[in-house]
Amino acid sequence: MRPGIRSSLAATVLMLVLGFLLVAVLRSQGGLAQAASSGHPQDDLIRMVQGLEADRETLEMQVAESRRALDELGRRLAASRGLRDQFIARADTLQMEAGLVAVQGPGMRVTISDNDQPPENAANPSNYIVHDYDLRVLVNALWKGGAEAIAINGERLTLMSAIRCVGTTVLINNQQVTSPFVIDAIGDSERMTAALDSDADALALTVEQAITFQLGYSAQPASELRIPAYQGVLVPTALTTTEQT
Amino acid sequence: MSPAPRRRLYLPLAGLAVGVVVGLLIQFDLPVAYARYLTLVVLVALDSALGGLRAALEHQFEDRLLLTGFLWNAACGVGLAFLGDHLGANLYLAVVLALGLRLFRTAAALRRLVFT
Repeated sequence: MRPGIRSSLAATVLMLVLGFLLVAVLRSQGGLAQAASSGHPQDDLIRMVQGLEADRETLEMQVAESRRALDELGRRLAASRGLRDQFIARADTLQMEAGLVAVQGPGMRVTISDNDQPPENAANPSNYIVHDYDLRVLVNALWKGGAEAIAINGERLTLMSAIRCVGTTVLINNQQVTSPFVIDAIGDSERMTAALDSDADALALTVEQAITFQLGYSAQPASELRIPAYQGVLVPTALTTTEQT
Repeated sequence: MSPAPRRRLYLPLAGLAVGVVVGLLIQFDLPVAYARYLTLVVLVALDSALGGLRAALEHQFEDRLLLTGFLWNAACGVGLAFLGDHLGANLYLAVVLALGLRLFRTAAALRRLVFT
């Protein structure tokens, strides 16, 4: 390569770099904008004002847009809050109905107990004690009378509760309960009393057998009863909800 | 002035034009913190360009000297300014002063070369 060309190339590269750097510096320090202006400070100020006004319009549009978005979000939040409250209320109701929370209210208290001193020559001693089926008769009559929550000796009856007998003990929710049996039922006490008085099985128990075998029996309206929650766990394994169409 | 150096000026001038155009086309946004250092590099480049022109007019042009001079002076200037920033001494001004003096001296030499 001839030295002349080489020299030119070196100088060219240097000048290229110089030109690029000059423009970069002028631009990064706002020098180009000043260079482009007419030189009158007034024109610069007018241009600046116009630019700022354009900026302000853009920003105002952004504010309006953001405000609309905010309103929309607020509406959706309110809607979802309403929905949440509905679900909570529904869950509360369902829990109350399912017996998973303690409840209180007016109702009636039915007490029935074994005859502690059966005659020694009794033909059938089992007649003198209260059986699981006796409790079922009373509970069924109370349900029929519109009871909304029932507990026997503090064992809340749920949709999966059984009243059964193993040997000589009565089991409710697989918990042992013994005489005297206190059945608390929340509901309309007049209707429940009427149901107890009109149910044939209940009458046979509370009138005939109670007198014949001297079982302790009483049924009193109560203005304020407290019924505890079911202590166990209700976890359906076979159940699924049916599709509602 | 001999005709040979004059002809050789066209290519560097074209380079300058290309550099300006490239700088305008490329969005080269330098962080403000480094803009000062870039200014130094620009001064060094300007100094090298004028120095190169002077050397060409004096028939002493050396391409290697031109490029190494530019790179070396730029590195020294930026390094000194950087050091000054971290030492708390305003060595940046010292670099600008030195380069400014050199530019004036070179410009004066060019004036003498052209008008004598």
